[in-house]
Amino acid sequence: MQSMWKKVGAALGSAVMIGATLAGAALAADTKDLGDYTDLMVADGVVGGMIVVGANAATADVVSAINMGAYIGQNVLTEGSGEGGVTLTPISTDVSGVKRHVEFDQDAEGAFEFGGSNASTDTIGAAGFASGDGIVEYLYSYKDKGALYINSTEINWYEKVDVDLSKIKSLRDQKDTNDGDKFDEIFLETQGNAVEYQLYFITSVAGADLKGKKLWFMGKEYTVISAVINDQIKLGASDAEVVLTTADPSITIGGVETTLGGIYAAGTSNTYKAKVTVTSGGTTETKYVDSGSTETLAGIEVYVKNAVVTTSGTNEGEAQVVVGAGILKLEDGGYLKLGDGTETTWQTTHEVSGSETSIKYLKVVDTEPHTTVSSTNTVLYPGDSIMSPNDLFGLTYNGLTDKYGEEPAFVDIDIMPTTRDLDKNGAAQAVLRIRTPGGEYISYKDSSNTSMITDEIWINTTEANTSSYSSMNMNRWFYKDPSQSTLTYTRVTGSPIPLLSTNRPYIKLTTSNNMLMYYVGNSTSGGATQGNMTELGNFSISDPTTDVTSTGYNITMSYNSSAASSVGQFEDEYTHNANYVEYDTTVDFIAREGTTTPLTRDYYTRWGTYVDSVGQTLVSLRAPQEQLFSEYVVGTQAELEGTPISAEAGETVAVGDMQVMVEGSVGGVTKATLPSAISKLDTDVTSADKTGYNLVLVGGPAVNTLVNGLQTEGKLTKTIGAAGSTADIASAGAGVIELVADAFATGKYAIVVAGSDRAGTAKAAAILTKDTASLAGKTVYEV
Amino acid sequence: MKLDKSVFSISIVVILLLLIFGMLFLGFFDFGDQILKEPEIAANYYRCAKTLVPFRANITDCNSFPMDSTETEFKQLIMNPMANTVFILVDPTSPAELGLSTHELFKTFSSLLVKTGVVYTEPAVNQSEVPILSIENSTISYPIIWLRDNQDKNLIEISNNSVIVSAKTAYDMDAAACKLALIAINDVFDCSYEE
Repeated sequence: MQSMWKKVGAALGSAVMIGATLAGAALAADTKDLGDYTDLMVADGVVGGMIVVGANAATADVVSAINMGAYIGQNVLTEGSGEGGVTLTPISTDVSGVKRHVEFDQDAEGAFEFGGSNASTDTIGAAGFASGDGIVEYLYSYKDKGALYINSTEINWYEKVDVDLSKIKSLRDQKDTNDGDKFDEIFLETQGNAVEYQLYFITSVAGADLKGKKLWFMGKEYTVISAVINDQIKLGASDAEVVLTTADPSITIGGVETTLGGIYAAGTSNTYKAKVTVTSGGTTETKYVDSGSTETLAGIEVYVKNAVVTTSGTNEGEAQVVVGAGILKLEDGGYLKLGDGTETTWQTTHEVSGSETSIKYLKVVDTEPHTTVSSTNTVLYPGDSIMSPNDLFGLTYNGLTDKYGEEPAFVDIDIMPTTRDLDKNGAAQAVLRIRTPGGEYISYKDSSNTSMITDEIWINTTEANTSSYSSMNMNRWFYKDPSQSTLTYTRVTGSPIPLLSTNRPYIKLTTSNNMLMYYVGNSTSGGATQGNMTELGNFSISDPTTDVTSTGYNITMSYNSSAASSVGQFEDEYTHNANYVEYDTTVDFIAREGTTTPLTRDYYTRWGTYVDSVGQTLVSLRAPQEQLFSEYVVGTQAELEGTPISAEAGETVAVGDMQVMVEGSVGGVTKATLPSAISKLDTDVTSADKTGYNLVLVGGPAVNTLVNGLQTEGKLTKTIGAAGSTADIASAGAGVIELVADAFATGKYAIVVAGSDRAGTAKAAAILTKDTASLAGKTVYEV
Repeated sequence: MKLDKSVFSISIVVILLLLIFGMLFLGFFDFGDQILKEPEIAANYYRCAKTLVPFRANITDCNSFPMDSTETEFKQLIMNPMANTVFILVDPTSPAELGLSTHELFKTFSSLLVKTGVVYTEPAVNQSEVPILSIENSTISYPIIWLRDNQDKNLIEISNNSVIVSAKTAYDMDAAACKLALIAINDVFDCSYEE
C-alpha cells in the first residue's frame, strides 16, 4: 500500500516538475526588453530589481549614477502623465466690510485707496468716503431699520465706524534672535483707540424714552432694557431672546440652564414676574424677575422682557427671556460688559447734549493696542482679528497683496559664487552667477548694444579692470551668447569700462519697476586695487523706490573671490562685520547669521523683497513684482466653499470668470507608490542576489566589477571603454543601457547602465528614471 | 433494512478512504506546515499596503535608531505641502556607501511624490550643476536633510527647518535613512497589516 502511494506521489511530483519546466519555457519565451524595466524592478508588489554600484566610487558618483542630483531651476521629479479628470472647488471670500491696503513702513493714513489726500479718518458711514462697500450698506441703513417714535416724534439714528488711520500701520519685523524671534514677517500694528463705533441719534433722546425701544447696535438688533444716561445703558439682543413657557420651561445656552418656574403677580397692577432658576458652573439660584427688568442669578444676568399668565388664576404662562451674553452693559466711561460677566476692551462713552439729560450718541472704542511697541501686546499676523463684542464687526489682517489687492507675484533671484572660464584664457575664474530660475527677468545689452533678456548672467570678479578705478566701475558682466552654436560667454556692452546706470544689467520686475545690479571691488579692505586678482567685493541689487521712501535701497552681499579654493564665497559684510547680506547700509540688516554673529535678522525690505535663503555659497532672494502691501478688512469676512466643478481631460470649464482648459496631463493622476529598488555595492552582491534579483549595474567596467565581468565574458553587445579608447561606447559623455538576459546563469536579467565617463553614466541613468517609453522594444540603447 | 445498512457501510468506507488519502497526500508533500506558516519576510523588508519595501538595514534597527525629536516634527517639516523641495545634503567625496544611504531616502521621497534632490557640501568634479549648500540654507520651503558621518554619535536631530543625521558607520547611516523613510511612508500610506 505504501509503495502504491509513493508511486502516486512520484507521478504527481513529476507532473509538478513538468509544469515547472513548461512554465520556465513559457517564461523564457516571454522575452523582455528595456521597455519592461519597471516590471523587471517590481511586479505585483514583489521587488525584482537591485541597483548595484561600484564600491570604489565616491558618493558623488552614486548620486550621479542614480540621477539623484538637484538642479536649481529644474524639476527633480517629472509630473505624472495620463488621462484623467479633475475636480475644482471654488473658494470665495464673502466680505461684509471694507478692504484696505497699507504700504510697508506706512500708516493707513497715507494709503492710496482711502479716497482722500491724507484723510485722517476713514469714516464708514453717512459722511464717509467708503460708501458703496458692504459694511456701509449694512451699518448705515436706518431707513431700512426704522426710526424711533417717541411721543409721536420720529427720531432717526444710524451707526457708523471711524477708523483712525494713523493708528494702523504695516510694519516689517525688525526683531532678531536676541528677542527670541527668528522668522521674517510682516504684521499689522493697531494702536489702541484705532477703531471707534458710534450709535448716533440725529435728535438727542432721554434715557427714559429709550427703555423698551428696539435699536441696532454694532449691527445687531437689541431692545433697550434700561437707560440711565451718564450711568449705564443695558441692551438685550433680539437674536438671543427665547420664550420659556411653564409647559416647556427649560433651555440651555452656552452651558447655562435657565428654567421658568411659573408666572406670578408683581403687584396690584397687571404686571407679572417670572420665577426663574439658573444653573451655571455648578451653582443654582432661583429668583423672581419682574417683567422688563434684569436680575443676576448664579452670576448670570437674566432679562425678562415680558411675562404673562396664559391661564387665568394659575401660575401657568410664558416669558420672553434674554440670558447672559445676549445682554450688553454700556457703562459711561467703563468697559463694555456682557451679561455672562465677560468684560471687553471696548470703552464706552455716553455723549450727551448740553442739558446732559439726553443722549446724543453712544461711542465705544477698542482701547487694546496690538503693537510690539510696548513689548507686551500681541501683533496681528495674517488671519488674526480684533473683534468687537459681536462677531459682525472687527478688524482682520489678511496678509500680503500687491498694490492692486491681488496675490503678489515674485521673481526668484539666486546669486551663486562659482567658477567659469569667462575670458577664455583656459583657466576658470571665480565668478558670480546671477539667475532668475522662474523665467527670463535679467535685462542686459548684448555686444550689438541691443537690449536682451535672459535668466542668467555672470560677473568675472577677478578680471583686471582696464579703466581707471572708481566707484561702481568694476562691472565685468558676461552673458551666454544665444547667437553661438556652442557655449560662448560674451561680454555685456560697456563692460569692463564704466557702465552707465542706463546700460547696467538689471532685474526686470514690471515695465516700471526694476532692480539695478552692480559689483564693485572694495578699495578700503583687502587691498582691492585695480587688477587685483584676489579681491573682496560687494555685489548689490537695488530695490525699486517706494512711495514711502522715494529711494531704492541696496541689498548687498559681501564676496571674497579667493575663498573656498578660489571658487569664492559670501562672507560677513566687511564694513558692518555682521551678516552675509545687508540692506540699506545705514539702517537695516537683512540676512541671517554670519560667521561673527549668531543673530538672525531676516526681514523684508521696504519694497517687500526678502531673503529666502542665505549662506556662503548661495543667496536666494524673492522680489515682488509690485510693492507689497498689507491688507486688512474692517467688518467681517468668511471663506465660502463653492459647488465643486468636475471636468475630464480636454474639457473646458468655467471657474469664476475664467475659462479653464483641463489638459490631458494632470498632476492629480500621479499616485504615490512605495519604493521598490534596493541598492548595493558590487562587492556586496551575493549569489543569492544574482539568483533572486534582476541587477541594474550602474557604472562602466572601470568602476563596476560586475560590468567588467560581463564585458570580459563577451556578454555585452556594446563594449564600454574610457573616452578615446577603441570600445563601442568611447566618446566623451557617451552612455549606454543594455539588457543582458541570463547574465549570471541564474535566469535573471542584468541591466547595464554605463558610460565612457561619469557624465555618460549619468545620462544613461537619467533615461531610466524619466523616459522608459523610448526604450520599448530595445535591448540596447545608446545615449 | 438491508439497503440502509449497505448505504451506511459504503458511506463509512468512502469517508475513511478520503480521510486516509488526504492525510497521506498532505504528509507526503509536507503541505501541512506550509499551509499554517506565513511566508518568511526578510528582516530588511518593510511590509506596507500589501507591498514589500526593501531597505539596506534591518527594519528593527531602523526603528530603534535614536532621534531627539518626534516623528511629527519630521513630518511637519518634510511632508509639509509647503515644502517645495527637500534637499539631501551630502559630502560628495564620502565613500559610495553614503550614496546608497542617500538613495534610501531619495527613492522613498520620490516614490511618495515629495520633490527631492541631492545637494553637496562642496563642489564635485564635473558636477557643477548640483548646487552647493550648507545646513543654514535650510528653510521651510527648502528643508535640508544632512547625512553626515560622525564617529561620536548616532542621532537624528531636527532644528531650524533642517534634519541632521549623524551616524557612526555606513550601516548606521542606512538605518537612519531607513527610519526617516519609514516615517514618510507611514505618513502617506496606512501600513497597518492587512490579512
